[in-house]
Amino acid sequence: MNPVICRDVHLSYGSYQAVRGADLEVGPGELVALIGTNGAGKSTLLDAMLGLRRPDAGTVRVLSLDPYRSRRRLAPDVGVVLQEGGCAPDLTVAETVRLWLGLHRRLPLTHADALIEEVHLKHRAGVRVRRLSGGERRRLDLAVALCSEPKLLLLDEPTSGLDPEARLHTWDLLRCRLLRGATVVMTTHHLEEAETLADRVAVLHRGVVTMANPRVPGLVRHLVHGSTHR
Amino acid sequence: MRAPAWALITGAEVRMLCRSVPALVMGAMLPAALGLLIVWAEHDTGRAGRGTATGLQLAVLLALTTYTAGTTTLVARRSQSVLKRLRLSGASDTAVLTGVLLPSALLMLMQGAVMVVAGGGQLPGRAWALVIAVAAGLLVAGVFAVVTSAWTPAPELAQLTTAPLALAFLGGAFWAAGTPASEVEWWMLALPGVAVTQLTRLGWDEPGIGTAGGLAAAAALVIAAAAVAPLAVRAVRWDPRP
Repeated sequence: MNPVICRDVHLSYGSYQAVRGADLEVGPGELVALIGTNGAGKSTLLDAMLGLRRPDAGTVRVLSLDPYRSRRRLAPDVGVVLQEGGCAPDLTVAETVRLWLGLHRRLPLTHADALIEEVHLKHRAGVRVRRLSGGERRRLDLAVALCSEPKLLLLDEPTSGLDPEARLHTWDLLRCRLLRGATVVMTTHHLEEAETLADRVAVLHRGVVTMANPRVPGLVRHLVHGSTHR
Repeated sequence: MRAPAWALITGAEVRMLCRSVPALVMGAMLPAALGLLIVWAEHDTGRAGRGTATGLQLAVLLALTTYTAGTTTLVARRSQSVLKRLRLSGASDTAVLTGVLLPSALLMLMQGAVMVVAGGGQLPGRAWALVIAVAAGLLVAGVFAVVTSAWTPAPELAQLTTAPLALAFLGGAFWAAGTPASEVEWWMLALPGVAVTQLTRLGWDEPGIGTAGGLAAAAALVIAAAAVAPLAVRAVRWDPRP
């Protein structure tokens, strides 16, 4: 069974329908980029995959489980980067990573240094989160997502705020995880990122998903620009 | 062996509390100063009685430290998306809320210890009544903090949204203090401040209240917490987005 399955998913905030019949299937070891304009429903759909929202209609399955009912069971197998981060601002980088290693109970606490080094934050290990730059925070979010050696990574704009060098490093890091068998779903606003990194691209427009092959020149660009002018 | 999730979260929260000057001033120093004022007033006049004065101190600490500071912490963590993130850690919702609120409870216990020392270091004859007053009071304040956090949009507004219940808590304690223990009616126990004060009076063996009256006060606190808990479970908000 594919790690992520969304079938005819509907999600709404009150009377506003954020996602209307979205279909998305992600195979093992695949990287799928979810792109769309602001308010297209990307984060809402990701929240449903994380089990933070119950769909109004349709089916969501993550690693063969209903994420809304089995959120706690899925937690160690699903690495998460939230759009808004979610790391406590008055803990240091090292304390944050150690806290999450402790919460997930999968890797030893001594693994903290290696994770911090993996996201190039070794020189900032003793610095409080509130004093990090936006890009550094994003890298810390990624380190926290990797704290349980997850099978699936659900990443909401993991490269936003990163400088070009840090973005390339994040791409390398994700490719490395893919080689180790992980599956990745990530949202992004950067078309070139989706085209370069993703095996497939899911364009979300007005709550509906259209799948695209990023290797077809200009297809993703056409779908995204088409959606903004429709 | 690793610590349970709630203990790990509490550890992180204690670290953050120690690093936040505003939280320390509002959550630790202000309630402690008010409590010490009551100690000295009672020391000077001896009018209220030891048990009643302890009830007033306890109400101040529960209302300002556990309830108000606890609500502020919960709202701050929600607005920083920390609660949402912690929910994805595999920890239960109860463990997350307990972990975030426990430092406010521990701070209140430390403040209480300071009050005891400042009051001469004497413990009440019926210490169990004081223990019940503290434990049940913490339960009520914690549950109310979760409910209040749901309709508090930002941490800086917590002082405002907690004011009605904090005042009701304190007002209840002052009402009880002005009423002889034997004249406190059963329905007055619906105010947690009254119930807490009755229990501390029993602890210090003040006239007009016996074990049955103390148990009724304890039951009133537990019933208040149990009645509000389902509302807290339904109302709790994890996501900063409405």
